[in-house]
Amino acid sequence: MLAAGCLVLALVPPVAALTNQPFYVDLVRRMMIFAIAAVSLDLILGYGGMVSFGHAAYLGIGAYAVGIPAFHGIENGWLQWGLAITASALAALVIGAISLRTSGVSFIMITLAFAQMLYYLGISLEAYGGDNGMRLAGRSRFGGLVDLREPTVFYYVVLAILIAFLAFGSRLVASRFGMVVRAAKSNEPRARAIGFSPLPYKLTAFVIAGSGGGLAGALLANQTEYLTPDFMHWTRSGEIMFMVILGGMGTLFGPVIGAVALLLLEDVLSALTAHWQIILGPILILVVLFAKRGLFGLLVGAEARDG
Amino acid sequence: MAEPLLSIRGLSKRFGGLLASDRIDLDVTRGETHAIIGPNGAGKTTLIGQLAGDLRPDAGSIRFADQDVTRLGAPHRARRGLARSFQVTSIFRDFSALDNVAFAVQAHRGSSFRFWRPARSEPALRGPARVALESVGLGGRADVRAANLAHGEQRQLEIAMALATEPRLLLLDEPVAGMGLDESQRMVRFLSTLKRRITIVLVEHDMDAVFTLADRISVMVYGRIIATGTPPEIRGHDEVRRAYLGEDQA
Repeated sequence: MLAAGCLVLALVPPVAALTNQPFYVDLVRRMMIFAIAAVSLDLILGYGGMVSFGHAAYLGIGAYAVGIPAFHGIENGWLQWGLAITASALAALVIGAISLRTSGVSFIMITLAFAQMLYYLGISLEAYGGDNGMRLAGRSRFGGLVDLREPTVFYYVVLAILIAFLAFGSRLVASRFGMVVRAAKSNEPRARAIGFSPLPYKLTAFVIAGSGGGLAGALLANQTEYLTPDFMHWTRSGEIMFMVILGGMGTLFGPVIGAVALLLLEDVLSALTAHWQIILGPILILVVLFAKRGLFGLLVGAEARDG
Repeated sequence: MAEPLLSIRGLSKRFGGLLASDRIDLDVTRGETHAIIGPNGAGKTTLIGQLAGDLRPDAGSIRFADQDVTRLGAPHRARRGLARSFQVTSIFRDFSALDNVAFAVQAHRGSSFRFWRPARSEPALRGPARVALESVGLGGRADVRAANLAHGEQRQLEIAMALATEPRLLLLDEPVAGMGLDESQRMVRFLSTLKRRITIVLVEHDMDAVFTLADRISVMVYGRIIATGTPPEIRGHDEVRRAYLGEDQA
């Protein structure tokens, strides 16, 4: 299934070129960027049971880590993307260290509150456009290596990152570390009685997920060539969470399917009517109610696992 | 004489107006099976919680394996060799039986901050886990999802998880609770071979199991231990008969 999925994604640019529909390269690239964000959220949400309602914060941090240096004339991609990953990892470390002391509704609310704080911080950054945001001065540059201004090149860079991230994720969830995180979700008192203090493991997972979100944010800034605090708005966090739930929590490919499906639905439905969310809502509810492992479960079987 | 493996002095725990542990003194010597019995509400669960490290006592001390562990949490005590089973079966339901036990081994074999190698391909984890599963008679059920095991098998799995960590002390919280007659007899037979090689603290309501397995018995009533002795001594103890045994043991 993985191979088939990669093949389909790899074929998008040539097919789009043949059919003269370059718009699809843009759309699918956007889907893959959100897929990276959704997979990173699922590492803690699906595998770790940490219902973080502030994942868009890292998306925003990643985007600003590209946009602010670019504004000051620093267009080196290694630097920008490195900054995006480091800054979002640090933010996740702080947010996680505080919020992981709580659980349940408090945890959801604290992660939401942190993301909203960063959202308002973005609005207050007048020099960088305040609540209007700003145009990205130019896409990240990687010397002569790759040229992201070339839509197809940028497309394959995103695809490669998505595949690498999925491969990393599948190793991670099956590793010793991954077993601890999953066990702590399944039965924390038992994990403690066996001899594990779950907090350091959960915090590490939280930081890994945050850096994944930051990387997706760096890509998103390059995708839209525009950045605004809206990247960090709580509705955006909700959207990423929907992708995970729609696609299938606790699976790696589920969130990819979820990101594709949600953005596709948005695209199709918004062409039909301005009130497309009235149709989207019930679809999401049906999936949550009747598909235990989301669309992935429907496609592959509810008991199936991919790692 | 060697220090007891587990030594409790003056242990007290209060919940509001209720004194759930009232200056408890208790010694468990190496190699013995020590049962703790008492009517519902006597404070056995509170005592177990403090032994395991889930509850912090208000006063008193707990020494385990020549160290003061009073201030240590459950994970630290587990790593020092205190393994437990829970009153209500507590397993990782989504993991296979073998995964459950291998995960218990993992806690005691090296760091778990390893991110790359699949845990299921580590012979150092799978090997001891298989041995422990065999020892409780679940060898043929290794790949079954834990949630799909029968109730009795889940209890056996819990004990396999505890044994896989090669503990110094095994804390069993009502191991035959909720079992049918057959299952519980099998469990008692298993525990009576197990007790030859490991120190056990047993909390149990089933008096047949207690008197079959225990070398010594402590009787709790209203948060206090009112008597400790061998099974014949406890059977003959007047206060115990009045407080507790009278109703079950005609």
